[in-house]
Amino acid sequence: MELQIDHLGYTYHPGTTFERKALDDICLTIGSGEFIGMIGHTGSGKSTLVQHMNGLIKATEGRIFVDGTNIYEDGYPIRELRCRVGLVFQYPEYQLFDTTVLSDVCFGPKNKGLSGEEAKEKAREAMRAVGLDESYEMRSPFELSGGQKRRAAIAGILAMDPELLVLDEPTAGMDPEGRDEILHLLKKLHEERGISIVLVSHSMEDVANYVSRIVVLDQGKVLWDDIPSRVFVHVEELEKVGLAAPQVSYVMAKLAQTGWDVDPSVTTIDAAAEQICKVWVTVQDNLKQVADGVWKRN
Amino acid sequence: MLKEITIGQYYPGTSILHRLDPRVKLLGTLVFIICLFAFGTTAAYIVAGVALACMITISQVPLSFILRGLRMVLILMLVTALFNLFLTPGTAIVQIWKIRITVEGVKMAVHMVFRLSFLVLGSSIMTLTTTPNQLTDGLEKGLGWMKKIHVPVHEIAMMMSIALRFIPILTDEANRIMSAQEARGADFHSGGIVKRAKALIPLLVPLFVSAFRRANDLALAMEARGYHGGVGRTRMKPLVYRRRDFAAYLVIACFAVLMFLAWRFIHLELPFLP
Repeated sequence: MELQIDHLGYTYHPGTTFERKALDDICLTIGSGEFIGMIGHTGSGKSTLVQHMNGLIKATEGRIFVDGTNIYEDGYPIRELRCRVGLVFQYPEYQLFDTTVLSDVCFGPKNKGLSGEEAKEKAREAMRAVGLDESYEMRSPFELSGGQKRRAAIAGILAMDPELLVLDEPTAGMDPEGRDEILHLLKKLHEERGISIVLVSHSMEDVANYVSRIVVLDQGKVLWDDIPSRVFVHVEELEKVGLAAPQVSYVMAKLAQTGWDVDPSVTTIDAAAEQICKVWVTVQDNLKQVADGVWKRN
Repeated sequence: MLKEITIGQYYPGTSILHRLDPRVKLLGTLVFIICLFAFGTTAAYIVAGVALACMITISQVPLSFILRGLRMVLILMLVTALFNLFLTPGTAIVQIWKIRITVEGVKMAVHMVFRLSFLVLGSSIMTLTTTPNQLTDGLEKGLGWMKKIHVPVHEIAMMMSIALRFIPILTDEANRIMSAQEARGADFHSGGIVKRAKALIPLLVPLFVSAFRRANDLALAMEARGYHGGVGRTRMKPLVYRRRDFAAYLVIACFAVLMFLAWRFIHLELPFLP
């Protein structure tokens, strides 16, 4: 599916003293099969924006088109849209409520209108996808560990078979292992099932490692919308809005500055390692030649 | 859906009412309410209405904001008015079959509507100009004498301020959980009453779980910072009476006297007004 956001604006509590403009003239197109990272300082409007994507919040200005149809039109099946655009909230584990993990994961598919058996089928599939095996099905969601709870909650969204999966800081408050597990899971979903993903995050490393396009928000506006290497070149501007480039970008920039022949726009550790190895090989070759020269002279 | 809760809502400002000692405002509200019940004549209510209008003007809170408080008791007011209208015995004006409207009924209904709206408006002026913290501080200090008869004033005040403090947090949380469940296709807004009640389970269970979690965290955090109840506890902002507070007490006393005089000596004979 293609989601097109057209000059979208949102104001909280319009007409009162608490009025605050959260989003301002946002234009964004999310195509089929994309993996987008959305970064921005706290309060930049990320969470507000993602809640527009499945129609939970109605914009005060602008429109949203899904496959060419305006979702604010009268009679648009908004609940169907919520199944097509799966939104995983921040700390989704706080929405678990049922007595068993399986029935909790079934909640979404059942709301979608599937029968009990079909819903269970979908739920089992989603639980397998997030790495929770059969032994978890009958356990209470409240006795799971933090990471397992979060995966169960994500399974609850996945079970609805969304075409676009939007995750609001899915790795917040998790240890490195849990974080990697979740991000790998997203990558797998994207590659194997072709789900489009929007990943909202604070961590530049996470975003740089997984996404193919970055949207930077600041004070409710889109600051950049580009591929990671071109976004993270703007280190100074990013720092000005309370963000940063991935640490490896800083290293590479420093190396390039001091005269090493490396590409400063590299954003992932793997790519950086490759570059440094290449430089190291040439350095080694040079050293060898010098050493050979010295050897021959003697 | 849960945005309409305005109980204890504070409207930031710098008016004289905002700066008054909360004890003055508490007593003032109490006097106002007692007077409304004690002196129930048209003349007295005109005095009360004028006083109320003055206070609203002084408070600098927009009128629309104050009237919002009335919306919450609209149904209560309607029911009260209807009951009084139809069920008060007396001389009938209109009679259809067994249902009849009496002169006394109309008077009673009008009286009730005014009393209720004055009550709500009066107390919302207080809550709108006083932060919940000031309010409980005022209560604690104002009722301090009750400690002598072993009423746990500090504990009650602390519980009140925590409860008030948690209203917005829990509303936020409820809204968030509601959105999260709606993102999973939940439907809170349609269907019959049974279906709606059932639909609340996915909202209430996580809400209770998180309320208990928050209560636990708060208790732990309070203990970690050495909280041990009210004995020997000093305040960051101790309540001290200033000149304006004494002046306000004088105004309150004048108001009570005026109400009494209006009730005792002025008798307005108006049709359909008590």
